Amino acid sequence: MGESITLFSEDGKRSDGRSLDELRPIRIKVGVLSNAQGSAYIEQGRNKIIAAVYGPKEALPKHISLPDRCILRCRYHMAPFSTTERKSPAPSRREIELSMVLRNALEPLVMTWLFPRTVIDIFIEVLQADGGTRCAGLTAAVLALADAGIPLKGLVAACAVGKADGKILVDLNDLEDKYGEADMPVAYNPTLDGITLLQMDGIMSKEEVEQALSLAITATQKMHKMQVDALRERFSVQRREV
Amino acid sequence: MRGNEQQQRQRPIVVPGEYVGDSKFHIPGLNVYRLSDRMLATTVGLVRIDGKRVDVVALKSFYQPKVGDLVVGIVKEPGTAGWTVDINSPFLAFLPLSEYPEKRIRLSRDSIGRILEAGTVLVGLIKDASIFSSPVITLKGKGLGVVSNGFLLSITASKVPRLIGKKGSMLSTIEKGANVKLTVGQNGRLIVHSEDLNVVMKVKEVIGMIEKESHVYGLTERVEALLAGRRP
Repeated sequence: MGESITLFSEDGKRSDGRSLDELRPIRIKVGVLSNAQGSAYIEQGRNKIIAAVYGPKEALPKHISLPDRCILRCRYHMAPFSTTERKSPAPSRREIELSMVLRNALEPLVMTWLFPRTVIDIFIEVLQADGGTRCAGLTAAVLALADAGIPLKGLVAACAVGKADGKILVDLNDLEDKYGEADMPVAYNPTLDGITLLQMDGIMSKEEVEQALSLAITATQKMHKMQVDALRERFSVQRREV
Repeated sequence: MRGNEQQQRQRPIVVPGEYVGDSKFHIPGLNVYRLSDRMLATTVGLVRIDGKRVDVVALKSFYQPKVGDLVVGIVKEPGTAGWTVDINSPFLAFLPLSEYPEKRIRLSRDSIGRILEAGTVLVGLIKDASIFSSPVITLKGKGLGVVSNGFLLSITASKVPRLIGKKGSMLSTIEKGANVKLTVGQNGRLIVHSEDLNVVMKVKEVIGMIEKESHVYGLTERVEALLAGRRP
């Protein structure tokens, strides 16, 4: 790059004042859209993402339907105003790829065999991006699925881990993502103790990957608790009114 | 005192993947699956244990057609041998010409779309439902057929049993309280057989209350109070 970017302060804190294994402040709200069957909104640091779910509904055109299970269709999209410079609203190569990656990460959780010949549409709209949008989008999308009443094996939470200046970091922001040495998004399901998304960009040693993975699992467990709280909050609102 | 009792009777809300029982003592019921020796919930709902069986009563769900269910459908599209009917389910139902009660239909004279237009509301019975094909409905039977007047309301399919109540108790409470006849489909749609908007609005309010508070103790009393014009 040739630019000199300082990612850590003198006291070892990160550019936004966090410690190495600290998550950005997270706010989750479920059931934010009345027109969608299920929806969720997440703010993770400066990321602002909304997810909506429609379906299961009849798969059209009919030839795309599967006789034994439903299809998941996922659309990850960044709004033109989500970045500092206007982003073209047309789906980019990255967005098309991420849509596929997120669909693959959600598919193991959905009990697709209960709704043969149907389709579930998942929309993930990034309103403001600051690194780690695929992870935050996935965290919101699974809540939108649960909000829609779609049977799931469990919830999945996602968080990126990575390396910058030789240090392993949790929940990378845009700066750390761009100028760091590696970035590894992980989606983890605590119920099944399984990983549904694991990607890596950059270089890390085997030991570093192991350390990063363990940090990611701890972080996603924290996020899973927040997801559960948000879902309970959504459905217990009615009780407080009583 | 009543508040405490009410709180005690409020069961905790479980979320997908949450532990609801042990396979040594329980068998999985509705919205529950088994993972080695653990029983886990698949939807957001409330745990109900009936003997060994563990169910999660979903707070939001879809209608899964079952043979013998009374459903309120809306004709979506006339086809060549019958009609496609929206039954408020992920699956579109099919009403074949043979299940239409008219004895003689001359297709040379009447087009299918003229017999039942798109948008027609009907009360049907699920005749066939399997995972391999679309559910089939029939209009042949007592109380079945096209609905010519009334208002259409809806409720989450999982709340229909609560709306009907034990042996139809809740339904008769509403019918008596609002002095109106209701047809409730298992698919979460109901018809209010009345032209009086005040009655319809009252029933709508009651339905909204059942949908929101079906899991809270003392619902029948609150419904009765609402129907009597007192704020519960």
